[in-house]
This record gives sequence, structure tokens and C-alpha cells, in this order.
Amino acid sequence: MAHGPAVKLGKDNASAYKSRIGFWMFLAYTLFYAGFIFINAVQPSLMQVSILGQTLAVVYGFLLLAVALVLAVIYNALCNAAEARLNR
Amino acid sequence: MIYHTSPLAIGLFCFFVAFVLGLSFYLARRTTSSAGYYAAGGNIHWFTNGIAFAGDYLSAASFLGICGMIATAGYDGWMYAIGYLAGWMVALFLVAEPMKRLGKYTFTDALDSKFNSKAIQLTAAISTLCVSVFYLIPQMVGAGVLVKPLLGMPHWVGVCIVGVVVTIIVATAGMASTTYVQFFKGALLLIVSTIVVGAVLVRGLTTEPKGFDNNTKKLQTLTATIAADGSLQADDYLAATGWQGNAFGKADLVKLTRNGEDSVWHFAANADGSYALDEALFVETKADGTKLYNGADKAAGKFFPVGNIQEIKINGQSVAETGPLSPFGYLSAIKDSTIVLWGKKYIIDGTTKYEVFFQKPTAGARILRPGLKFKVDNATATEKFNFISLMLALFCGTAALPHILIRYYTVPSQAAARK
Repeated sequence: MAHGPAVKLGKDNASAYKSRIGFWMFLAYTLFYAGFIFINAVQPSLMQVSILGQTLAVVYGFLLLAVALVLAVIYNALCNAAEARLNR
Repeated sequence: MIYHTSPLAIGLFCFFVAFVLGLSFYLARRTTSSAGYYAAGGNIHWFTNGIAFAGDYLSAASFLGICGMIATAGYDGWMYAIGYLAGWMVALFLVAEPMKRLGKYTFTDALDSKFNSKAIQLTAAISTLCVSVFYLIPQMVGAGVLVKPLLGMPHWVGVCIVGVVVTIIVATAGMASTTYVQFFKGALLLIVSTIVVGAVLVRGLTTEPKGFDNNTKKLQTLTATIAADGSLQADDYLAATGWQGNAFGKADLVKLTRNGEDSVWHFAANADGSYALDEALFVETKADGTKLYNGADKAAGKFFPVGNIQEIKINGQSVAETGPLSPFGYLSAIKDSTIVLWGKKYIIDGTTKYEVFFQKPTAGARILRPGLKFKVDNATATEKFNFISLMLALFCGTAALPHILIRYYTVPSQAAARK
């Protein structure tokens, strides 16, 4: 069986724009994630500090999840808008 | 592991296996092309694909493994879940769109179409086989561990059953059957997990859990004193002279005898010269292979369920139970409480081996931050490197999982792949 594409996609004029915002969003999230690793590696006791009734570790962990969700929604909205604008 | 097989669990397991096999054979009749087999024809709805994604992630290894790690090592287990989800960002921002645009099914296909190199094909094939083997091992072990108490069968039978069922599902209709089976699995897990979380929050926390069958035994604490002859005595429990110098004593444990029955306790010296003894659980393996659980046969049920809170504090006040809690109220209550974790020690006494599980009261705030399993406090450079490597592997590894990547081809458009 040949490994051909399952769906033929047309020309996408928005691909360069999508790659660019994907890269910058990836970079922003990676830095945020790196902060989590950095605190654990350098000053782990800081993660036990109480913030808003929770440990910093719990707050940072939930923020990582929440920011991921928000960025994904923004990315999807920007890509949809770019496709609608550039692929008319 | 001590368990009682449940006819309801067996019935549900058999029903689900029959359902997914029936679905696979039905879809196999509709799968007539390579595009249908490898990418479900590219016409799966984004919502179905999304739930199937969740099903892929909530596999035996991750679902059972993370739950178990959180139960035993607290936050360190949750870091896996954070790492997996953070990895989705790599897949979404960097991998999903380019892969979809390339129109190839895998990284290997993409590389092959660009370079047409035998060396790349061989390297990719070896890499795929190695990764698949090491990925499948924990999945199969997890499946066996799950089937063992569920169906009461030996571990290897569980591995074989699950291995055969999964092979049939994949072989019959490829990604079509795999996607729909994962959709049903993911949906079931999400619904049932939500129900369990809701039930836990409504019930709240208590220092005296009842267990499913009111089978939770209250752990005993004794105060012991040393008699004139050097023996240790607490109520009518007794440890003969020399208890501190034997294999148990060297591990801060003591074996006591009462009415001819043995029990093992973890001891700590008090300031007044007495000793505080905390009840422990122990598995005794004799030279002939006979195993005793808390000094009795498995059927006697003396090896009781554990896992409890020693002290609950709400707003600085000690309470016996919290009542219903919000999700963050639950975490906050855990943070301010003292949780009893369990440590394990191995003791060899003559020809008998002991596996002793002892109580480790731990501050909740300590459990809700990393470090109980992964060495981060006062860590050496190598230990820090290990931790950073793990977090990077979780972050980047998710984006390279073949059964995740292939999902970007099972949907009709780039917009659907993003969702």
C-alpha cells in the first residue's frame, strides 16, 4: 500500500504566518516551562511557599495548564483568521 | 496484592472487549484503501479525534502510573501530567501544521520524501522499533497489573489478553478502529474520572476513613518501656532482650509477640526513655517460599488497606473531617494537614525475608511540591541533570509519539488538526 496523503490540501497562503506565530508562542511557553524547571533545580524549597492558600508548586502547575489552554485557543483563533483573510 | 474479583467488573470488561472487537470488524469492512487504513480516510470529526487524543494519553501506563505516583510521592507524580500537557504545546505550535501540510503519515515518511536515503530509512525503522518496544513494555505491564485483580488471572494471562485484543483492533481497520476505540475509551475515562473526583470532593477529608466495605483498620500507636531484663514491653506485647541489636532493631523496627502472634512496629525514642511504636505491615517470605501477610495467610485478611490523614487543619484548627470541599479547598486542606505516607524496608532474619511497610507522617505542604521521589533538595549536579532531563523528555517526547502524530492525518483539514 502506497503512503499517499489521505486528504489533498490546497495552497495555503497563511502557512508562513502560522509557522511564525507558532514559533513565538512555542518560545513564550517554553520560557514559562523553563521557569518551573529552573526553580525546582536551583531553589526547590521555594516551591513550598504559600501563595493564595496553595503551595507555589500547585499554583505554578495549574498556571502551566491554564496558560497552555489559553495559548492554544488564541493560536487557533489567529490561524483561523489568517486562513480566512489570506486564502480567499 | 490482595483482592477479591468482582463479577460486575468481569462482566463490564467482557462487554467492552466484545464491543470494541465488534466495532473493529464492522469498520474493517468499510476500510478498503491505504488512506482508510493508515489515516481513517482523513474524515474523522475534530471532536471525535480530540477525545481519541485524550484516550491515547490516558493509557494504562500514564493513567495508572500517575495516579499511583501521586498516591505514593505526591506532586512528583503530577509533574508527569504537567509535562505531558506542556508537550501538547510543542505538538500544536511546531508539529501539527507542518506535518499536515507535508501530507505524510510519519516523520519517517516526511524525511524519506525529502532525502530518499536508505540510511535514513534504516535509522528511522530501528528507532521506531526500539521506541515502540520500550513504550509497549509499561503499557503491557500496566494492562497485566489491571487485569490481575479485575479478572483474578495471572499477570501473564492479562498481558496476553490485552496484547491480542489490541493487535486485533489495530490489524482489522487500522486508524479507523483505533480512533473510535480510543474515542470510547477516552470518553468513558473522562466521564468516570469526573464522577470519582466529584464523589471525593463531596465526601471531603476525614481522619477516620471507612473504606469501601468499612474495612479500614485504625492504626495503633503504643508507648513501650524497657524492662529490667532489657526486653521491650507495651501492654501485653513483648520483644525479647536483644531487640535493638537484631536485623529489625538496626532498621528502627521491632518485632513484638502477643499471644503467640507476631507483629512489626516502627519505633522512635521519646525524651523520657520510653519508645513510641507505630504499627507496620509486613510480608514474611519463608525459605520454602510460603508467604504470610501480617503473620497470617492471605485469606485471613490481616493485611489491611492503608492510606490516611493523621491530622486535618482548616484555618489553623484541627478537625476530624472537613465535609464537602471545592477543588482548591481540597488542595488547601491537604497542604495544611499531616498525611501518612508509607516507606518500605527489607529485612533478612535468618532464612526468612521480611518486606516491612512503615508509616511516614509527612506535612501536606511537603507532599504538594516536588522532591519526594525525584531528588531536588540538596541535589548533586548529576541529580539535578537527571531531573532537568526528565522534564525536557516529558516536554519534547509527547510531540514525537507516533500514535499522536498520526492523529493529525485522521482529520479533514488543518483547522481540524489544530482543534
